Amino acid sequence: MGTNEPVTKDIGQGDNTSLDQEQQQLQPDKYGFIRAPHVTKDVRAVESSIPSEVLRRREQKWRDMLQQWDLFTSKKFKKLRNRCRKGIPSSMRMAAWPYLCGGVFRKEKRKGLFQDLDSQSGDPVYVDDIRKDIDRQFPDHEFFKSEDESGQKELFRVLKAYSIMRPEVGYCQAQAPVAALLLMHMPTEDAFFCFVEICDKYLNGYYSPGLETVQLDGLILFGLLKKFSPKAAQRLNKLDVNPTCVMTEWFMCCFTRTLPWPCVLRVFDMFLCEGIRVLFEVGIVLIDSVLGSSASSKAGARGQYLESFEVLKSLKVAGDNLLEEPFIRQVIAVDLSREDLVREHKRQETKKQKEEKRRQKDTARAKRSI
Amino acid sequence: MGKIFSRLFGNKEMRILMLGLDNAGKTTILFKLKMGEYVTTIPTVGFNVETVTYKNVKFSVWDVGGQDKLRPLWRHYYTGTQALIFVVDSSDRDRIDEARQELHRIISDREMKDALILVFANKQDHKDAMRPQEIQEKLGLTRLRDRHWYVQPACATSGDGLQEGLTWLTVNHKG
Repeated sequence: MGTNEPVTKDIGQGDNTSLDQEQQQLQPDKYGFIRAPHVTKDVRAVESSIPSEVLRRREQKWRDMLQQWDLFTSKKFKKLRNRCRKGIPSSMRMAAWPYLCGGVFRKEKRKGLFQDLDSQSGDPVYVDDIRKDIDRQFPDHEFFKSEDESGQKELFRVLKAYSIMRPEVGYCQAQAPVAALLLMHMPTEDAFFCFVEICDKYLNGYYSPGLETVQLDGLILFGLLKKFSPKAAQRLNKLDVNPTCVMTEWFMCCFTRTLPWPCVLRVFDMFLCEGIRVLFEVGIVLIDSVLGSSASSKAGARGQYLESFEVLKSLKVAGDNLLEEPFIRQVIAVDLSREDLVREHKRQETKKQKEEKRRQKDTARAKRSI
Repeated sequence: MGKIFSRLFGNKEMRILMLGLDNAGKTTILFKLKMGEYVTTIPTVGFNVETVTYKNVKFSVWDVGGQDKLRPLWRHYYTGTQALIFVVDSSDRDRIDEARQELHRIISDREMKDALILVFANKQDHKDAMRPQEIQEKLGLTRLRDRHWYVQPACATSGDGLQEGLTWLTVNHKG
């Protein structure tokens, strides 16, 4: 990758917190968080500020685009993609996301579906699971922090409706933060339809029993490192760090549990437009930031075990304090092509099948010897 | 080199894997051990890991998400585990059998066959909580003879029992 731009900024930790500041901290930030996730101090230190003039222009552009959506998803797709990469104005996300993922069209086609699902009581096992999680998703967000806020109720309804619609998937804990992210931006029914698109199309198989898909994607991600961050690939190999451990939460929760909120939103803008490759690109940037430079490689007497422990630990916090603009630029710069992704997918699938066969042979042999 | 060093100075290290059904209190235990205070937690999807030093032993404690959907990921964390901490919600009678099945699936894995087994019978502060003896029976531990195991009553929010559990590990660990 080779960009030397700093993507984190030291946000002074040691200064005095006066009463005044403490009071301020209790006020939610513009994203609704009372305490911003993955930022040491103030979310304003990581987000990029856009002059209001530019913002107004962008809003107009998005309104125009939504008027002629077909044109922008066909002939002018590149323009649409670039505008998603620049970030959708926060005022337009509510309208733009359902178009980008297709939720708005499914809602049109399946009128009454949500109301129908919403009126059913659902599988008691799933309902119980969902209920247990509902108050602990975004405890620092004004919309989800208490039972009295509508967020928890809406989240319950969306997850329950999906578990009825797709009983073979039911409810997976990793789905909740994704649904919550949608609910922060749009009414319950719209959020439901976007959620269906994401679970069924973008992340198809991610939340199904066995988690085969996401585990395969873990192998693909690490296969891609050979090309996109050879140093990181080498080091992970040497340390025998298991790829799946790090990436399941990243991918299954669409980085909502990993990045500062301004970055989460920008990644989501791009993800809905370009699909799962964006998650791979973000994954590559995060791993590269921890393991890509030679400076971070201090192997030696410390022992492999300790080192792999620390590597996993630093990967877990790799997203903290990332600066919105430089980070997004790095993600775009990865420029993972469809071909790269397809090739690596095939490679890993073949590898997996071979291993499966060998395992079957081994068990057969073991049985015979008994 | 590392081994001689640790034998001379009594510094031991121990890799601990903490598993259990969802909502058993694993993450709460982890942060209580690490910071000594009760922290509100979110459902774990991947893992949390912290090092905790207690009685000259450096524990690295891995806490992995426990929802049934996420359990296929558990095996990725088995390698190198010296002790399993299995956390049980003592007030959840409905799922104690599910807990038993999961526990036996874990400990019968080849990579876990030498691991010590510490069960935290958590949420003892709940009024209808099962007592350790009952948990031991229901988890099918009483008849488990070829393994080192111990059931420790605990309350993660207050911290009761957690240190005693670590003490059992330090005493029984042959580093």
